[in-house]
Amino acid sequence: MKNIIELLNIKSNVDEYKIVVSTVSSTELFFIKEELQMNRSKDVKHINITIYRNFVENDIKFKGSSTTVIEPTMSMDEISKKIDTAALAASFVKNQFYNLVDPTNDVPTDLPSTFKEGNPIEHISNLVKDIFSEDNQFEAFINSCEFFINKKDIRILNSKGVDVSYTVYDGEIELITEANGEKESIELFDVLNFSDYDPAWIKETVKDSLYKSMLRTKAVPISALKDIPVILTGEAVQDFFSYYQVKAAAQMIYQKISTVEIGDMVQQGEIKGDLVTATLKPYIPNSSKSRSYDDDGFFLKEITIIKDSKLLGYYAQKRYADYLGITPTGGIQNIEINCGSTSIDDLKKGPYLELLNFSDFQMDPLTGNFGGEIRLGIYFDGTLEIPVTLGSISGVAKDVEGNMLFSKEQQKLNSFIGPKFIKLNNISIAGN
Amino acid sequence: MKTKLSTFLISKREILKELVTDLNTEFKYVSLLGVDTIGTTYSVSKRGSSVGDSNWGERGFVIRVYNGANYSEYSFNTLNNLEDVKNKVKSIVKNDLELLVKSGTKLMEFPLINEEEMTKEFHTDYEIDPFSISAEEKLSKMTELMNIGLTKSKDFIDFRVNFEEVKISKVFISTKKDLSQSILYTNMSLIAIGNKAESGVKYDFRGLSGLKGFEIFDGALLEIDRVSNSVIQLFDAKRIVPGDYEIICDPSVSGLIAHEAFGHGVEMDMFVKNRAKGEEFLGKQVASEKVNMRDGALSGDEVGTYLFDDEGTLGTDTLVIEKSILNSGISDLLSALKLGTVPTGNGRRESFERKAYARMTNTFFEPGEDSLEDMIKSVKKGYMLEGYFSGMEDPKNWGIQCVIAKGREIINGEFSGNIVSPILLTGYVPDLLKSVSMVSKTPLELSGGGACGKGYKEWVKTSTGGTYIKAIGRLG
Repeated sequence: MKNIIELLNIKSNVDEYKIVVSTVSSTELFFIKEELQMNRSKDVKHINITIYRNFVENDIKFKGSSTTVIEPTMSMDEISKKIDTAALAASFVKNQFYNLVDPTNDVPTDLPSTFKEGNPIEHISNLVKDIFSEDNQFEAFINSCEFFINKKDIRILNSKGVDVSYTVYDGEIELITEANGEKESIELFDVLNFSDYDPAWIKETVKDSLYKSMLRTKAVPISALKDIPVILTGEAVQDFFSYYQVKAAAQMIYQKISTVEIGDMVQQGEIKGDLVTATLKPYIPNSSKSRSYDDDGFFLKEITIIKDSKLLGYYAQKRYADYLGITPTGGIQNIEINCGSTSIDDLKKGPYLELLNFSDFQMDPLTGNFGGEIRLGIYFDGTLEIPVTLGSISGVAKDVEGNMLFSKEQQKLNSFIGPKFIKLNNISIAGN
Repeated sequence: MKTKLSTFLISKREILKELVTDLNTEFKYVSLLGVDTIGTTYSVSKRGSSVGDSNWGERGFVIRVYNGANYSEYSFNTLNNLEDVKNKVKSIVKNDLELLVKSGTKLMEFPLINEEEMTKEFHTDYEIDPFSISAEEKLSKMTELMNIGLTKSKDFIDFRVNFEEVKISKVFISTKKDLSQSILYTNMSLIAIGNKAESGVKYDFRGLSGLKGFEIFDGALLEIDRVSNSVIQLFDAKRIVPGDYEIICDPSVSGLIAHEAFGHGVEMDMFVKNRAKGEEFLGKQVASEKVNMRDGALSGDEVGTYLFDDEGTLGTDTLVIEKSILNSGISDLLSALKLGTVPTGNGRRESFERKAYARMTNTFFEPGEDSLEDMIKSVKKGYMLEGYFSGMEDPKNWGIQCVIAKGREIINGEFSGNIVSPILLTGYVPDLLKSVSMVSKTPLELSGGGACGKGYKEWVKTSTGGTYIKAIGRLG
């Protein structure tokens, strides 16, 4: 690293630079039912360098940049050529000028993780035991699962003197549960992301997935429904709220894709339902996205960007903050959305369709279009709760955001804390 | 011009062979995949441009060894100390597995890989080396395209142009195999974004891709009007009334259906896990007689083309569906070993850092015998589905989800001028494919601008396509 920094400092075609070094070691296990199909491990290092060129045309300042990856097996001659190529490319990139991040004396938050101590294979072995300890419940079982624990040592430097580092643990379990119905067997797919060891949460997630698998064997194809209240759950809730985070992003404002101004309401029209309040949090316990610095080396601090639907400030990394003349928040990756005041029991008064699992719920953050194919839902017609499947939901945020209700019950999904349920009204369902 | 293998891999080939030979004294099977992929992405937009190394770039190695029961792997990207690499491989096999077995883990048994002696190399062709063209020229051409695009509507807030050049170099070395390949592909995308007060933000994109060099730019100009007109039409789009409709899918949507419906559905690692309904339908009807579907590294010349996969198996051309009958799956090496089938050369890794899975390559419905005009005339009430944003598979239960960019309404055999968007095409795969009543005889169109994931990870480059198909689809 010292050689690369020295090289960058002596090159006249490099005005400024940023270096991000990631050293990653992983332990990985792949199971089919309870049998280990493969074990893997990796040790890799990646060095990403961004070269900046500053120039003036017609008295206007510009900054060009180009990012290049330096591999550990490259010779100094190769590295020098890669830097020169990137520097040349950067000189043709004509972006509005901005400043790189300055160093600060802020003290980073310690990111606690049980995975810091001991042998990774023992940690992953504990995860395996936790997962399979909940196997075979509700007439459902674990079909297969994959386990990953990545230890990532990150160092971020720039030519203005930033030199920060942190270690983050990135755990992932891909879980497939299966249940045999009268006509066919079905499966459900779950991904668990985490940074710390939380056996109770892991066991609860497995149990929930097994229960839903059993429920799916009893599901019938949904009928077409018009103007039915829909209750979103789980990750679909997180995906739905991403629309408001993107709407408040300085990059989107600069690119004129979002036109919301500070002080504006982020929900359009007359709002009879709950109001969105969003806080960006550098640190959430057991989130693999928790960190004290963003990719530019900017020190992150908690900030509320939307309060009762009113935009308080933009979500901005340094570059776009400079463009808009605002204070940067940095690239914070965790978000908390305030819960509502309605209990799930009250949300479920009257007919509704509760959607428990999608093929792939999608919220288009640019247009606000959302939807997905329903793998499992519960349709309550006012009398009976009927498990349903197939069919699809689609809608547009602007049509539903005036009348949304958020549950007072809370959920945490890796980098997201927020309501466990959102109730949307007047949704049409494609079905039989 | 022929693509050349990376000088780095050429220079390290003997050391890598020695590493395999040394490990072979301890393990009955050893293979090593070495990768050196270089690439650059260029983006131009109204509010800024960027240049950087492609996300597909990588340089590193993965070693696979037989551990006595199944296979263990180690990925690394330094060659400073090969003794460390050997010790790490031994530790993964001995220490890690021993600890796991002691803690109660059962090991799944796999047969030993039995290879034939083989030495082969492969290099794709191109006309103009994109790496030899300066960044200045590329950015200048892209800016020109952007400026033309921005003139197409006063309501366009941006017209983004992206270009990517990627050169893959791979070597596969085992006791009996010594393979190498170098593949050059490029892709471009043109994204028009508009914003009108009454309709909000609308956007669409067109992609170009192929085993091509800088000559890919030749086709970009023609796509500007297509993508611009699409967004202008989307400004007036209405919401669709959910229901079952007669649909004609353009080649991109046909390809997406082929990919999501029976591409993922016949990945044979899912057979090993009992996660694919396709296994029980082999030899049975799954579509209408109009449907023939292929997948394979040799099935087409696009971004999914190669000589050998990431496990050293030669690529093939698999007829997945033959006149309505599910004919064959596509498999990686280990799944084929477990199932007792012949591997089809579909074992692919996201990168040297990831496990190999059964993955698609070039996947498409074969052209049929119908004219597109007759297909449109035959629709009483339905939609021509054009372009897509994403799709999702459900190999176990054969559901399908395709997020379609827009639908053009057809009433009594003629376009009414009405546009609907957004559209979700969903349903039960056999119902959808058995309803295919017409397949156009227009030329096969393959597109490889995007990437395919397995679940929500393991991204690989694939191409998809076909011609126009007419079917009954559930739209919402």
